[in-house]
Amino acid sequence: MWAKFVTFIHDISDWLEALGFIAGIITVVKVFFLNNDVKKLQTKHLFQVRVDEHVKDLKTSSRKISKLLGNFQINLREIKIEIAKCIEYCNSIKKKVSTKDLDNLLPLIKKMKKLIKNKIDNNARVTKFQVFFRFKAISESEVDEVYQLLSSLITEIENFNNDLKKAIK
Amino acid sequence: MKNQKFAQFVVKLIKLTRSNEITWDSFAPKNEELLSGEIVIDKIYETSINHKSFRLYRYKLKLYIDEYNFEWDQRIRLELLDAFGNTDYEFDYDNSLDDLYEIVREQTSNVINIIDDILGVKLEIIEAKYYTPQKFIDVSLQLQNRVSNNRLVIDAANIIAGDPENGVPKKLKVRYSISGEIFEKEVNEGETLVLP
Repeated sequence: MWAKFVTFIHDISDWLEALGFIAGIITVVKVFFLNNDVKKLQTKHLFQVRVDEHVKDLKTSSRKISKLLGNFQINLREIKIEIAKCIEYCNSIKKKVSTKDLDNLLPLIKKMKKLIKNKIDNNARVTKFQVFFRFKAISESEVDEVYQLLSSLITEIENFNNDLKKAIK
Repeated sequence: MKNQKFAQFVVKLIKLTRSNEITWDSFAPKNEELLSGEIVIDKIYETSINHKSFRLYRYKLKLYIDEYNFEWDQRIRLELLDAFGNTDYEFDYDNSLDDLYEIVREQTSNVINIIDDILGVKLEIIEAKYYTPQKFIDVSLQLQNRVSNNRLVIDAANIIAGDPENGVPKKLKVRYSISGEIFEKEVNEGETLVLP
């Protein structure tokens, strides 16, 4: 009788040990996901705290670019300066938000970088070297496209921020 | 595709407004509160392109955070109008509409001109010639006549005052002053001269 009781206790302790082990694994997995969730919340919080400032900066640049669009050949240097500022703002936003949430962010950064890197002088004659390597001067439509993407991104950020406010409430 | 075309259209409106190729008329709103509960802020602006009228205005709308709580937000709306001034189509909101609105306000308020008058800023053409290495035409008077709101936008072309030498590439060179300070600018034939 006593032996049976001891065996029963041993069995229970084995089961509890197994259960404890499983619970431990579940806890580790859960902590891992919770950690990710906390990181996401931190990023969202950081985005929410800084978003108004970023939108304000982007809107200022967008307004300046819109005024320079009419004569892009003459204003190209100033447009490039504003675009360089926008790249910095966008890179800063990129750190605080998942790029899945803002469709226009990465394409815009890519297009702006391409435009800034283009060193061809629009007002100078095209050299044979440039013709050979198919270098192109910046076209008006490229600048327009960057401006359109920038406008779409600002609208997207504003909408995303409004949705975020609703979600947190 | 549709949104891309709308975005291109707004950019076109910005450019046309900026170069004064289209002008906007401003009105005080008859009813500040719209049927949708939105409230019109400031003036309403209207323009006509290719016999089609467009209306632009800023309005206040409620953005609901939950069932009961809301925040006021401001947006700009661009509409295509029918012959009776009713809305035929409403364009989707995009930030470029804010930029267009600011440029339209700047144009209709004439604020730049008012400030220039107060500051005594005046654009004057001292000398302008449309030339080839051999011949030239003095276009000072023509350019001065084209100055509007202390601003000059003109294409360097034979249309200004004729062709000084047929078949030879020409240049347009201008000496101008703004508030007594003298500047010089030169553009090739076919390019646009923008002063200042």
